[in-house]
Amino acid sequence: MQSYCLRSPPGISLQEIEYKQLQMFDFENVIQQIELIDPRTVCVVGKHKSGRCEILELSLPEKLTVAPCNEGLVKNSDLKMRSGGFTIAPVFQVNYENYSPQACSPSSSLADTEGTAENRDRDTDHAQPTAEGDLITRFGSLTCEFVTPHLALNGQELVLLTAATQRDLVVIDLTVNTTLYKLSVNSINGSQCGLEPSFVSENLAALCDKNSGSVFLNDVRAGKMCQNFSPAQQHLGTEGRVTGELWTVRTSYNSKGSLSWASSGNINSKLGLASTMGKLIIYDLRNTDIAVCEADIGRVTGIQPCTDNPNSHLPVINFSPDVETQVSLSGFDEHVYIYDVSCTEKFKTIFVHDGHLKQSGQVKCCVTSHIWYKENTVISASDNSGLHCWQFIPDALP
Amino acid sequence: MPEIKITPLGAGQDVGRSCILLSVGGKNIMLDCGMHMGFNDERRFPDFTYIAPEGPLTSYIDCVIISHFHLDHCGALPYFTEMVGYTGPVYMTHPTKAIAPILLEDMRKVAVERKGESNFFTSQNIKDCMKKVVAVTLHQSVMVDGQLEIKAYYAGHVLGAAMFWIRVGSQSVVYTGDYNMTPDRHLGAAWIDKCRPDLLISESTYATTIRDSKRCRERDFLKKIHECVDRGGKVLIPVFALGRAQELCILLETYWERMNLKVPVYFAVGLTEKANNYYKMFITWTNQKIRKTFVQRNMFDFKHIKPFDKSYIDNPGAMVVFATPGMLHAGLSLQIFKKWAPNENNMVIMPGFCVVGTVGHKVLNGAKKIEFENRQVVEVKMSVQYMSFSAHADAKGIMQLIQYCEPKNVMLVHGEAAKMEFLKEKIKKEFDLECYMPANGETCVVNTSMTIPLDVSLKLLKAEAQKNNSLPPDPKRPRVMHGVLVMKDNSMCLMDVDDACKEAGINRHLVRFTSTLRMEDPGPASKTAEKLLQLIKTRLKDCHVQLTDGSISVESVLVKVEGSEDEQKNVYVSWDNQDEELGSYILGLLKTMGH
Repeated sequence: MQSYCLRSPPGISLQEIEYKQLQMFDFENVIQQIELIDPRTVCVVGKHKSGRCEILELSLPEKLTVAPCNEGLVKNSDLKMRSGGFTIAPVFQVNYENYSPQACSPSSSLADTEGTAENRDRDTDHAQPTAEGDLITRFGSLTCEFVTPHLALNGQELVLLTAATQRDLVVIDLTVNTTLYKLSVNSINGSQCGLEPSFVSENLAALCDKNSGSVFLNDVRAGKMCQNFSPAQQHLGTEGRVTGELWTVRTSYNSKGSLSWASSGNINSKLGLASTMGKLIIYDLRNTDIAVCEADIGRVTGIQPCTDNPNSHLPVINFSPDVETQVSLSGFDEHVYIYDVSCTEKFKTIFVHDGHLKQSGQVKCCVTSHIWYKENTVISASDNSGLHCWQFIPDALP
Repeated sequence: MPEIKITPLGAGQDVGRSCILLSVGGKNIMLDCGMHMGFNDERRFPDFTYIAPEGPLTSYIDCVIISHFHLDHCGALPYFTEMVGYTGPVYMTHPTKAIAPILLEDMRKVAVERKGESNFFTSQNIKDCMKKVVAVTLHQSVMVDGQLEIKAYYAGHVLGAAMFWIRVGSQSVVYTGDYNMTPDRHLGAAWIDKCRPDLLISESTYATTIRDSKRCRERDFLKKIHECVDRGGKVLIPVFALGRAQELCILLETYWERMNLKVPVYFAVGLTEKANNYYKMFITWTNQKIRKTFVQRNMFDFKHIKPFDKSYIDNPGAMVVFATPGMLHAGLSLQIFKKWAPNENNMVIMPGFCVVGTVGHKVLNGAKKIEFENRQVVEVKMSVQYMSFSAHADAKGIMQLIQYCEPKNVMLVHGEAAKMEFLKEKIKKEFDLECYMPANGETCVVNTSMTIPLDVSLKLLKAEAQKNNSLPPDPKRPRVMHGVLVMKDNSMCLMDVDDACKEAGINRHLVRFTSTLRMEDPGPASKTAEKLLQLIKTRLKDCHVQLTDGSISVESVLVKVEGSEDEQKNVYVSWDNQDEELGSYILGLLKTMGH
């Protein structure tokens, strides 16, 4: 007998098992970056179809923020826009630290080589959503001479900027709005790519050479390099080395933005390196001679770098805020991968989120960015204007 | 500048009793005539005294347009036509005309018989009111009178909901009513063509919300119900007879089929039976999928959902019941609620908005004990869930609609002020359009530019094209045509002077002025002419200055120097009346040269 029900979307039964919670949102713009502001709010940066960048501050749905025991009366599963605005120049990176998000955006004209890091201050009044443009205003701006820089923040004080094409870095003290110093890291092979920064602790920053994956540790207060190590020298990740392979770095210090961090006073940071060819290398910073875990996830990034943002094709790697041996990876395709990286022998896939593909009706898309919200909960965005908040059940995969 | 005036009497910076007065091109139109479900006194109706202090309003309003059958859009219509007084036409779509009287009658019954109200409209009032209704079809252009034209577009939202396009002369307005831009299981999404109205009046219920995808909400809904019936609990879903009820029924039906569940699902009889019939009748108003499968099987003939009988309330075991009314304020759903609330295994799922004061509202706010008029107290131990399935456009949807129809101005109604403020700014920044959000009783004036269509003679067009092509290409250069506007019969045409004269049957007369200057300038006349030429050339860089046969010519201005060697020179300056300005300028210029 022919079935007469409306066809339900494929895979919906799987979703019922794997996820404790799943919310999918459809945006006007492609969201390129997500940053957590506080347990209730995220800030997203999207590329509007007019070419402008739009920054939105969104209240997370109660279904996500309210504890499950109060579930019955939890009202909504929608995102609410609290404030937003169009930026003048393209935004490359947003980092959030305790009520002052830093948006890093260069001047849009090609002739100009100024890079400006803008301090956007946020009113702490939560009560009313206000008119767009009111709250997010340019609080201050700093200029440095890098175009399309990378940015990393520690606490509220220091911002470290690196250039895309040179191995230079600049440290700026935000409290007094002055450049503390500028350094150049000598390169042996004269690589063209720059460094990507990531703070390891309040005073120590890791700088990753995007070409080779070498890491330099910089004491930010003293302004000098103290250590360096290179996976290439340790013969890691060198198999199948391809020219044009680029590396990105993240430390578990960055996960402090999420909810669970506050409770654990974790000092021993882990550092993760991921490459566009799918290599994943994890170090424990107490001993950088050997890697804790080395793996190849078997995927490569397919995206071509877009002209106005050469950083866009780097994959995104994040540490779980609660479980230091869990790492999430995105940017290769339409999935977000969660791996167990406790050691090379035990490396395995814990979970794969494929909602972005389902939402687009099986049309190929790519995950642009993701962040951890709290234990087992991730917020990810894809280039088909989707944004998902999902709480997975570990080991749900057969 | 021609204007469009809008005054909301309801739904201006709030939700409920939608009623918007529109004044365009000398015509007055009332958009929607709703009732506020939260008030029990005269505040529930819009304040019609704004239109005229008293008496019938037929002479003040040219027509009334109702967008859909929700009571907050048509609830005050019988009051308006029968008790205040209006005998003009009322326009709505066919499904709305069929369903509205049922809802109005039901509402009237509850108000008068159960609440004991007096001075409410009667059943006869409703019937008389509906006699004034003219039903319209989608995309059909209706002339209300010689100048006023209206057209209905599909709005989604509920069965028969429409967005209306209104035109008077060269001004047009689109009123959306309530709409949604994403298709449902049983209704399609709103659609409009690029009509480029002067003003778009849009609802903004979810102005700052980005809604969770329907699939995720449905997944949640089904999961909760499944969990409850698995542990033997009973699920109560209070719904309004028409609207979300059908959507949720289809959802539950397909899920039960897929999961092969045997737990009984019931649908309260009465209003709901009729409702299903309406959906079957107006199948063309539902979405593509339903129409396609209709041939094999009617979607609204449910296999797993059976009619409910009051005696089933006490049946043991799990079950799911859809019962009316939706806010638990009276009737069967309230009865079931009272019986099931004390059991913590049970669950009630509120699928929509509840007005303040209703039991539904209290329960959603966490009330654990509800007291009724007869001193009966009910303990609420059952699980209370809220799942919003209402079909309204969200922030992205509103922006999409603006993109589709390309209005010149936007007005936001039917929402909360703070959220509308945010959306207003966003619309301004994104589309560079003026956006308004008047409050109730506040008049908003929108200026529209007047465009008058003209014919242009081919000769004039060709001449301008030639001139434009001879100059270096510049897309930003304004293209200007100079001609005579000839109005004949009902047409207006721009043509060049000679053709206009022919058309009008008159001979063209030209007037030429000549002025003579005397100058002291020794030397031959030709030398003087040279000097004058240089002077004119330097001053009039843009003009074409020529010296031919001893005469300088600039456009139609001629300058001729005469006189012998040592004597005074006579400079004759002559020009057409068309080049008056140029002529007098050159004359003045030459005068100064003399010294």
